[in-house]
Amino acid sequence: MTSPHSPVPSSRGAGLTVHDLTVRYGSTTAAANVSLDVAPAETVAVIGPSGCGKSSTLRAVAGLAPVAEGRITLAGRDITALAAARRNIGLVPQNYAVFPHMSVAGNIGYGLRARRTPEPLRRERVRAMLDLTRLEELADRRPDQLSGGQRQRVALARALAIEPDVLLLDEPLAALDPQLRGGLRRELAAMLSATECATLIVTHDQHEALSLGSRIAILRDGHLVQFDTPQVLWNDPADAFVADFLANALLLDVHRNHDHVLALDGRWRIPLGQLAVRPTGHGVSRLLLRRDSFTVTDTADEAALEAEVTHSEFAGDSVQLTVRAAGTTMSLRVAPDARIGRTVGLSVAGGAATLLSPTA
Amino acid sequence: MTRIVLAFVVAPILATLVAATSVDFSRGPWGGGFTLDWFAAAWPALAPVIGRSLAVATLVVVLNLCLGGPLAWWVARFPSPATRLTGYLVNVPLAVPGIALSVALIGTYPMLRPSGALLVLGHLVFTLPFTLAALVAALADEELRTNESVARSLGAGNARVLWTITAPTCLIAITQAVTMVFALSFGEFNISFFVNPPATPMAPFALFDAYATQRLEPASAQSLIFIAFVAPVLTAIVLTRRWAPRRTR
Amino acid sequence: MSGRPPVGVLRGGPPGWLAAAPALLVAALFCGYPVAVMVANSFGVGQAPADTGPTLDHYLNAFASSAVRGALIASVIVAGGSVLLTLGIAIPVVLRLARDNRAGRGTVLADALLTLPIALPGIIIGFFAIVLTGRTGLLGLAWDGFSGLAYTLPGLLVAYIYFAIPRVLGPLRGAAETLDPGLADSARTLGASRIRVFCTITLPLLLPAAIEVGGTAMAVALGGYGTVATLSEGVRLLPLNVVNELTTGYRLASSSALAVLLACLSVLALVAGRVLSRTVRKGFLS
Repeated sequence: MTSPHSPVPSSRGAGLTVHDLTVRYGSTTAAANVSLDVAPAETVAVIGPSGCGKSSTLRAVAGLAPVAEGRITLAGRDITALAAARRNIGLVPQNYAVFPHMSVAGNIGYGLRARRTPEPLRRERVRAMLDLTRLEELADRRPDQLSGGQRQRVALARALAIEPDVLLLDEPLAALDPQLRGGLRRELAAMLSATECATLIVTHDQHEALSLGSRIAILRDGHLVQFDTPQVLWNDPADAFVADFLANALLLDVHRNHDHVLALDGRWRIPLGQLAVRPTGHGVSRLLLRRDSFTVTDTADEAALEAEVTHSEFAGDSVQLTVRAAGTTMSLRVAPDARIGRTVGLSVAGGAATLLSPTA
Repeated sequence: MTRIVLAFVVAPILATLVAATSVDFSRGPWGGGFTLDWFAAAWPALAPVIGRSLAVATLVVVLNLCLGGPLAWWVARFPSPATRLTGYLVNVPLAVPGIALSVALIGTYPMLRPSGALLVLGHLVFTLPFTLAALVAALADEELRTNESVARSLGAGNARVLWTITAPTCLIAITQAVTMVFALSFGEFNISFFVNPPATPMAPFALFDAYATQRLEPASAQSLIFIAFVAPVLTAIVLTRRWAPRRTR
Repeated sequence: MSGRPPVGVLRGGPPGWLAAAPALLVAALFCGYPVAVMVANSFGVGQAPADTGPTLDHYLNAFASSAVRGALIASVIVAGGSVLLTLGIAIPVVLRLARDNRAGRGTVLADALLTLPIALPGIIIGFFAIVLTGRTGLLGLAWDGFSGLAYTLPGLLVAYIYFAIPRVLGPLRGAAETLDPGLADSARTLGASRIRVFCTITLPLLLPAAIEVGGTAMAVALGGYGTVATLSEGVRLLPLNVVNELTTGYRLASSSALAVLLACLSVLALVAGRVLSRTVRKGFLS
């Protein structure tokens, strides 16, 4: 794959830095003290439920939302107070905002015309972008003749054509048909890695974040909860919200004794031998339970947790259960032949649950 | 810019208010002092005329709904070359200047003139395009049609569907049509000027008469009384316009 | 309109056009037929006294008369000019109102005031002109040049702008409201200045609607009678001539000819607006 970019020198201060950013609309604070950075050629995903402030953060970086406090630097320049037109940012909005009155090529060349790039150079650059996004045949089409995926590629090519210092993608796949998202996600990942441009992706979809981001920033109620690699977020979430939102996992505070741990206010006693133990960077012992971490046991042995079944759903190769125990609701997946009554005894499948311990 | 335009729209009304409360406007604003006498003098003569205009406007609204409603329903639900042609033809009064239509009407139906029937029918023809514009879009709405079929599948008869599903869904469009038609009929001048016998003038004609024969001060007072009657209708127009997009958004 | 089969037809009931029949009958009898008679009158084949036999004299006389020609030109200047000026004023206003509305800032009062003139008959607008810029007008006190302006061409132009504002602003407001703000945002992040964004994105996208609205508003302005009737001692516009032919001597045929001429102008403005708007919409890619 040929990169249209000259290699970016990874000097100090290159890439994007967001420092202590606060965005306010009138009296409502959309984002509060958010700090993150994107290295050159890196892709960072910002994820969180709707209304968590992730779009506001992106719009503030683009210069489209008011920055109340904090600083944004891009490629060594402080751009906090710079007009959107002068930031050199490639924005791909959620609905792609493809200019309906211009052809595909006209859309891609728009930023270059605004920059008064000489005609031959512009033509060459548009051609390279059409090539990168595989839109050559559609160069003269009108946007209303394009599919959702093609519009997305036009918006991407248009943003990349100006050789931005950072590429901002706002929910890049949300406007597309769910059945197509998987394939288009892989396609997008390939194009992003080919461009070697620092990229910030905003999404509410955990698959998108995990597969596209080399690091993930997770936001909740305007605050940054955790910012790290997908592996760390998956294996050592900062809190129960991160575990639930990103990995559909349950994170329980536990008390660790010499040969067992106590969870759910001491109601559940799990022998240490049944758990995998990993170090955590978050200072307290916690138990990370995924859907597959449980088995159903009949015997009321010491290590079993009695849970009330609130919902059970047959899914072919497994049974999906929703249970309540000690005021906590858990979703889990057990073998299809498990006997399930109004209550079940639950124990940890050997080695399938992880104890996150500050002293491994 | 917005403020300048707003000032441009409001300034003449305020100026008219100054004129209407001046004893002698030719000596400047409130020349000879402030007075409400012009209003008091104008009202007794204007009241029956306004009443007549209100009655005609109400009648025109009712006729619009009774005749324009079914027409809109047909145009919205049976799309065909015939409905498309109808859509264009009904809009003819928009293009044909009101005075041309008035000239044509009195030439063709002089016998309908004394009773006032020609006036009402003229207003009806002149306002029908606005009813159609508001109602066709609402009645053609896909969601409404699905809801109607669901209601019918639940056992509702045509009258019940109309009363419980169609009318409530189109309420905003109907309000839009009603207010617009009312305002247009109430302020309509051309047909009122030509078609209506001078012995029973409509409000705009009475104003025109005042402009031609009276001093500026009483004419101003009469204009303001007229505007006062239009203002509530106008508020309704604006409010329905604001509600309208929310339904489709 | 789609070719979808009608849903919700009264199955086995009377055909749908029956519902439309009363309204169509009224429209045909009280609009279609009179207009046809009016056209016939103008060719001398209508009702008395316009039944002298087929002739083009009434049109030829109209064009031969310098008064009619002057009124015709003045009508086109006033209607076209006022609508063009109104469009120039209205475009920034509707963009601003759409932005305010999206930001949740109330626009009800502005909307109400800007819609106000639509409910006012033309005669009141003419009267406004007299109150402000008539011989004893309020503005004349501030500057002598304003006195009597109401009876001049520029004064009439301003009065017609007042007349056109709600008719242009209302529909254009809807068009501005549907403009995706993301388009302008994207253009700005691509490095376009505000002026460039306006010229290359906002204006081209608003232009088809503006042209169509302008055509309709011009058609209405051409036929407007009340305003110019109130200010009739000043500049003469064509509608005055139509009425004049009737009120001074009941020359039905020549009045009809002028009315047909006026209607043709209006239809021309209306159709030109639609066609031009469609052309612009299609021609964007070139």
